[in-house]
Amino acid sequence: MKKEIIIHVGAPKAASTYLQEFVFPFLKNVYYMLPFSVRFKNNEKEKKRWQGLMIS
Amino acid sequence: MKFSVFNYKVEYLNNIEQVKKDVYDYLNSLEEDKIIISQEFFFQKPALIKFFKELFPNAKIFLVIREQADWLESRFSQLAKSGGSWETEELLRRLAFNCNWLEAYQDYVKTFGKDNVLILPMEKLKQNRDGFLDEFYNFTGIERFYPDDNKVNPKFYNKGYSRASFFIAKSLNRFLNHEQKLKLKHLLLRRLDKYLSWSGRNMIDKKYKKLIKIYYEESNSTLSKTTGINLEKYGYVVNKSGNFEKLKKINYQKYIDNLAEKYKNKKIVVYGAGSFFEYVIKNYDLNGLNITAISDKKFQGTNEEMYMNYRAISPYEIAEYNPDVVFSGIYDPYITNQVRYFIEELNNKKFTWEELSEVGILDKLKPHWILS
Repeated sequence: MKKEIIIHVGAPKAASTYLQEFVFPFLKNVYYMLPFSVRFKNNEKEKKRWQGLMIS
Repeated sequence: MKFSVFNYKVEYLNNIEQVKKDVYDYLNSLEEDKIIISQEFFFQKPALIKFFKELFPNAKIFLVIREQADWLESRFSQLAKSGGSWETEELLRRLAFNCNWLEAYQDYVKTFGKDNVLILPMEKLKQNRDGFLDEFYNFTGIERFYPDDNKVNPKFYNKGYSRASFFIAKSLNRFLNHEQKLKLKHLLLRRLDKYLSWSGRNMIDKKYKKLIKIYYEESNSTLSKTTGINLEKYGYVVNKSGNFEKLKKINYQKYIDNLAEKYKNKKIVVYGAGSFFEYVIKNYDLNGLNITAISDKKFQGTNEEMYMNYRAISPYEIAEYNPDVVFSGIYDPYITNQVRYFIEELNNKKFTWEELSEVGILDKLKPHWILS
């Protein structure tokens, strides 16, 4: 695969939300992927909120 | 096609070739050259390291850490916000031993190579946001971007509870259903915390905080040396002054005096005459303790009868002294735990044990399965 993968392994409560919401989505030539986590599994409201980030 | 590889069933993820094909096909169809994958739970699942390596062997890893006592406090607050009602000690048992950032860093370095792992303290983001992001951009080669802090919507910040709200939520959550918990959260965050901020944000007892800092002092120190990041500058306690000088930061004599009170008129044998016990004996008053002998494997097969004015005995002889309690003079509670097993096997007898190392107090919170 030719793509360069960067894995952000941020501890919870260590600026992950800041990076995920205010930095990563705005980077040029970067596809920011937020994999589903269990917290979205049973929460339709959260799912809708993140729909824009879902890959369909 | 919905792409949610990290949520697929285990059977699918075990078929790594199929996962690779699906993921590569998808990623290669994207226009962008660089892909960032981000999720907090990666940190809590070390088994993922191997999976990542198989899937993305040349990946770059970006780790963000936070000073452990501060991190635990924030986690506690978050758990109370999420509806939890655990007691602080129970939470410490669950979480206080899962924040050895050195181990996490070493695991990733071992797997991906040092040049492919960047670790940064979150505190740097607070102190020097642009410097923090610059390091990330230098590491990844991504074009620089700095968010306009004036436009950042504060509602998205994971704002924590005040101390008062934390205790209110923790006490009430157990009686509430999901909807009620949400209402309480909004009430506390949006209304009451305007007036309760005086209570500060300390959710963990100061004593525990101090112990947590001491507990991670060595690993943070090694992490600081290994990475070249001055963690002390960001509020981490690092060991600069020798192994046991840290005892001066706590009232260790008071700890000894409490032990003397607890074991008044009881016969005590100390096991472990290494550098830690020698430091203690030279710097603190142990006269309140009824120490009948000092045992160490180094006294076995020697003619040495006395050690620092105490009777010196081999590990085999402890039972002969019939102690009411055996004090471990070993600093590291992990080693104590191993030694304890062998001492009891050698003497064919179970003893009551006590720690001379105050770090051991924190370790007692640790469930047995972690120690084993």
